[in-house]
Amino acid sequence: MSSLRNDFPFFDEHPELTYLDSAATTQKPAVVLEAVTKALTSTTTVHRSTFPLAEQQTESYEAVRKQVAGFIHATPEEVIFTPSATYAANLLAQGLAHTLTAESEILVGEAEHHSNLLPWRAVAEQTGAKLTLIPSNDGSYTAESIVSLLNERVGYVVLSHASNVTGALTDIPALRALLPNHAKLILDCSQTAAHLPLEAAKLADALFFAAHKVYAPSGTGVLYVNPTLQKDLRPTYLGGGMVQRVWADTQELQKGVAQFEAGSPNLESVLGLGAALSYLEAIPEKTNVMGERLITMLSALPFVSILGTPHPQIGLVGFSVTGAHPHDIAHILGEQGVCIRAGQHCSGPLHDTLGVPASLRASCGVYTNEEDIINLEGALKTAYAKLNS
Amino acid sequence: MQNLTPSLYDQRDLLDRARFPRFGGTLSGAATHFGKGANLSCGDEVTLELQVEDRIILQARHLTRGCAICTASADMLCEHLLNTPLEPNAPEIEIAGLSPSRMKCKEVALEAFRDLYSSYE
Repeated sequence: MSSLRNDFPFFDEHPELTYLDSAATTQKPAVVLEAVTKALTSTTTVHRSTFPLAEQQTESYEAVRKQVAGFIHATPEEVIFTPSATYAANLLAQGLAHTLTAESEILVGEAEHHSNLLPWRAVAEQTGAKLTLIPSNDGSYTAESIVSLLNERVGYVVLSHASNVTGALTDIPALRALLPNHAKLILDCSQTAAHLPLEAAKLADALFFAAHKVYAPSGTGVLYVNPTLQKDLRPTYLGGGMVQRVWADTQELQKGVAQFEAGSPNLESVLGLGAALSYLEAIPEKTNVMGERLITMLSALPFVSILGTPHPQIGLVGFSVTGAHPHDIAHILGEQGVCIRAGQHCSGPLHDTLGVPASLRASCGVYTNEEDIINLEGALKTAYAKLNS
Repeated sequence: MQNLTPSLYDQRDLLDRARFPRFGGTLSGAATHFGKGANLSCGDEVTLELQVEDRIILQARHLTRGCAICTASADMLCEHLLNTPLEPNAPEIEIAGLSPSRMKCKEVALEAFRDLYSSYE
């Protein structure tokens, strides 16, 4: 049994469950729950009130920004907190829209989560820029497929680091080396942040991920934007906290990342993120040790077809079951206490390419153990037999 | 492991209809009314065909690409429609133990009927 499992109260609360849906959201270790509780029992505003406790919480909030910067090998001046990864994607697209014209082109991966496609589709409609989908056979992208689409009009190349449907990983450093300077790379790291070391500056001009997928609470997204791209990024959301001074007829915005953080920050979620990153950093291998085991088990089942080529370290496998609809399988698994995902996982175009209307997805976290894999195997056999009896 | 809810999938009639729909297929040239329903979030689709004469439904068929609930619902709908007057409200489809998230699976067939009715009335 994974000793890390003992760190997660979820498994005390739900001992009957086999949780294999960590690509959707991760469970939270006790240290995160404690940090959130502590934040909520000492609630103050951040960057506003000046009494000592508020100053202390502001320092705690900014300490997490430094911690996040360390986590992705960036500087605090490059880290923006947002309410979610989806919000980060929208903030990027809308904030960079002014750099696009009807002569511009945006390349967006075909396998993207809708959150990384629709904001750019909206911006293309607003600006008249051309949006071109980068083909993907398995959820990842080849350098060739992108290079063949490059031209001097391309302003942004928008991709995911790993597919949220198949777990396939794209070799981003190799790909980025081929991009011309005018084609800025924007990377969705939602499925890699918990599993791979991220060196932001080497990976992309901007990248983002959701805190709740790295064992932290919902309500926070992390957005990295390098200094060059930050000069082009305009604040989309306006209000308190992002202005220095407002006069009757004009205003002066904050400098740096503060101008992108309008409104009261989610203190408890951000402090929870700090605790989660400390927890992750203390684990010798933050990768999914059970990813390979999951792939091996599913590969051995004659009625299972794995979609694409999942990377073991991502710990996420998309698959289908012969002659059975994903929702039927997932429902029967759920009745046996096995929690996996069924559907299109917010990636419609990739499912069209894969030739399946929907798929199943099992995904691991640091708490996943051998028993989970055995339970999934047994439950799949039961479901398949039930639907074919 | 604990059995959390009564199983939908222990209902023999539902599974039989899903695997071997009694009203699956098309009416070819005999169809007078057509409708389509879809659940875009999971890709399920139901195409409904009826032969209607003097407002009475003489034949009903469906072509379904979907889960067991979706397929069985379309099949039950066709059975309920047979030899009844074509009216705006679809007949009730009873499936015990449907959770809220699976209600939409049943809805695809009903959406196909609503599409069919609105196209002709």
